[in-house]
Amino acid sequence: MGLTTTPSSSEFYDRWTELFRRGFGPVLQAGIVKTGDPPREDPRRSILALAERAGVREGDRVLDAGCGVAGPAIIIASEYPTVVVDAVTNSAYQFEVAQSEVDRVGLTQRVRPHLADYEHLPFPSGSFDQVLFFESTGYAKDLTVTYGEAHRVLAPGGRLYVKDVFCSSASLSVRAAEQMRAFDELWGCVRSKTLAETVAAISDAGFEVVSSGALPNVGTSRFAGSMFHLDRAGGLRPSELGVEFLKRGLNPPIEFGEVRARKPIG
Amino acid sequence: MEQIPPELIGRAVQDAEFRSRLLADPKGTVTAEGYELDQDQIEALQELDPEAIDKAIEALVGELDASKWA
Repeated sequence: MGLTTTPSSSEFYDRWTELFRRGFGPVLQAGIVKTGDPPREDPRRSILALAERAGVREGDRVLDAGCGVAGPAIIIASEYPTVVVDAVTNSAYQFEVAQSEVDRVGLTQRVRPHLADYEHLPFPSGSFDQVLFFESTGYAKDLTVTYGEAHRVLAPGGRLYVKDVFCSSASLSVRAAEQMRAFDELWGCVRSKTLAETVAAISDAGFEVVSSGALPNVGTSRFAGSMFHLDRAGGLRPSELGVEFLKRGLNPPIEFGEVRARKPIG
Repeated sequence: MEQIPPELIGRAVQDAEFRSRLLADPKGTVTAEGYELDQDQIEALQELDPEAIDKAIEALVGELDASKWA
């Protein structure tokens, strides 16, 4: 039996991003904040709702840490005409697509993709007013380093916002732990973090944690539905995304949550 | 265009009660829930066999806790 290795997140996204784009569109997130009446999972409105929860303001210098193909960065820059977003991905493929999309929508002056690791950010200290992590910290190798870097690149008074799929508990049953490992392996994660360890790491990095908890009104129907085709000819069957990512019986102990924090002044 | 919107498919997969209503009365359910489907999409839903859909979900997904879908 040969040795097997888990692909890095960059390898994972180099391989799968095109499939994800076809299945999910430009916002590569599982949890979509429901907005409107009746409530709907609209990815653009979800990103704007998250930006509002994060506290993004006109004139902000924003870092999107783990930006995918810059879908959220483009949405935020489109809505906030004086915001500049630096968008970081460690996938060369995502970086190329992000560059292309930014060019296509004419936002090259205000959305700047970077091929970089968010644990080693290529920015001077104090460069940003807002750092965003949208479903990206499961790829962090070291939370201390990750949030230490976020703290470094934020200006005093700057805001950190983390929205993620968290492991629901640090002490899992054997069965739940197996499910969690299978989930992480499926999605190329280093390890899904718990909300509690995330809050602790953010605090240890020097942030003042403003709030943390479950993310309200988040739905996964759009994500789930992207795994299937449903039509009269074939009934319900896996989509091309579902062929690769539907795993029967996978039911991991996860929850959507968020953390707001602030870098103290002085 | 017959392809059903992913959010609607996802709800149908995740929520057995919603799926039952949707397949029993597609037009009434999508209207009540505020989805905008064209006639071709409604007709496609009307032609689906609810039992076959339930079996497909069981085969593809298994026991499903909708709150833990990701």
